[in-house]
Amino acid sequence: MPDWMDDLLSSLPSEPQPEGLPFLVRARLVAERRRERWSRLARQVVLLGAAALGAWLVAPYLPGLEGVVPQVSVEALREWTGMLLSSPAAALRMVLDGVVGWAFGVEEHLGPALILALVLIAVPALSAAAGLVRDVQKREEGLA
Amino acid sequence: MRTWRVVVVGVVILSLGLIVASALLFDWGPLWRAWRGPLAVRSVGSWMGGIDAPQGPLQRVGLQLSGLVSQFLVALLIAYAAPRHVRRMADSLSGGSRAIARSFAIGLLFTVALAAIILLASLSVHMFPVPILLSVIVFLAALVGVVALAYQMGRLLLTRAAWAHESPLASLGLGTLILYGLTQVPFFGLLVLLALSLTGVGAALSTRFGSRERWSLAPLVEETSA
Repeated sequence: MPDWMDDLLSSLPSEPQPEGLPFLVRARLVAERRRERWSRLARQVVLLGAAALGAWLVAPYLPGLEGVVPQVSVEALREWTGMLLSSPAAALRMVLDGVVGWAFGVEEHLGPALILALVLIAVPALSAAAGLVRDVQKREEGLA
Repeated sequence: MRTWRVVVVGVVILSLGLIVASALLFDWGPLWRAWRGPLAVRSVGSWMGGIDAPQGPLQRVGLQLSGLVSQFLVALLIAYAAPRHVRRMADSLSGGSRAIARSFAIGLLFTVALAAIILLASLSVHMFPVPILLSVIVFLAALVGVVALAYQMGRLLLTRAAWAHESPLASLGLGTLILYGLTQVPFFGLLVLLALSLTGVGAALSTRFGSRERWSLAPLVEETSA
């Protein structure tokens, strides 16, 4: 530390330390940490509960969800490749038609309960993934 | 060091053995007809279960090896196109089984969330490109993440065997050979492929495809307070 900093520090007025200051600071820190711990725990419990509720809501629909997975066959791929070579615009339109048709099919499968379930699953999953990513970043910073 | 050299040579022989044995035994006519299907996850020309497996033993082995070579060439292209990014992703997987498990968990959670978002986005007409875009992003993340995983695995083994001074392509080649061999085990290979893809997605997304950028909203906060 430079000498001028020592001079400045030594010229500061010395006030008497309030009674019990270290104890108060320590107590405040402990209270803050406890509050953070409880808030983190409460958030985790809420997200876990949401994910469990989402899983419970989606469970009866799982067998029917097979219909929302796009079905691709070798014949369809071959036909599409042939079309792409002969007429790219028509091939692109075929893809768009396929996507729109698939979206309509999905809409038929998704009821309000399933939509709510998907939201309840997506949010905790993203939150948990973000927490793990933060861990990775902290680890990288530690290594750096 | 000597032990690790034996391990590396053993792993190479075992991986090649797995590839050749799966081509000779599993792709053999009667077994193929009984077991073929998407769950079998075979390489070139048969992965959809709609095309008959080649009958000649040499042809079967040749097809498997061509799959290995094509996978290595794709890995090579990615490594040359973005070496720093691959290196950073590989470094994120360098913390042993704990780091790999964490990447797997991140990949699984991201994939579940993205699948839900894809389904929800398909409900809005103006969001129809979103499912395609997100699917492409997940596919690319899995692809580059698995390349980084292969490189890290090869680098780890070659470092232990004190052969790390060789070209990084040796690490990439060794890792690709091991992972490809594991994915060729009938039925078990599908699980391996799924686990590798999810781990790759986790490694790619957690490092933002190996960039130095952080997953953080801090830039937005800085802009608003300025």
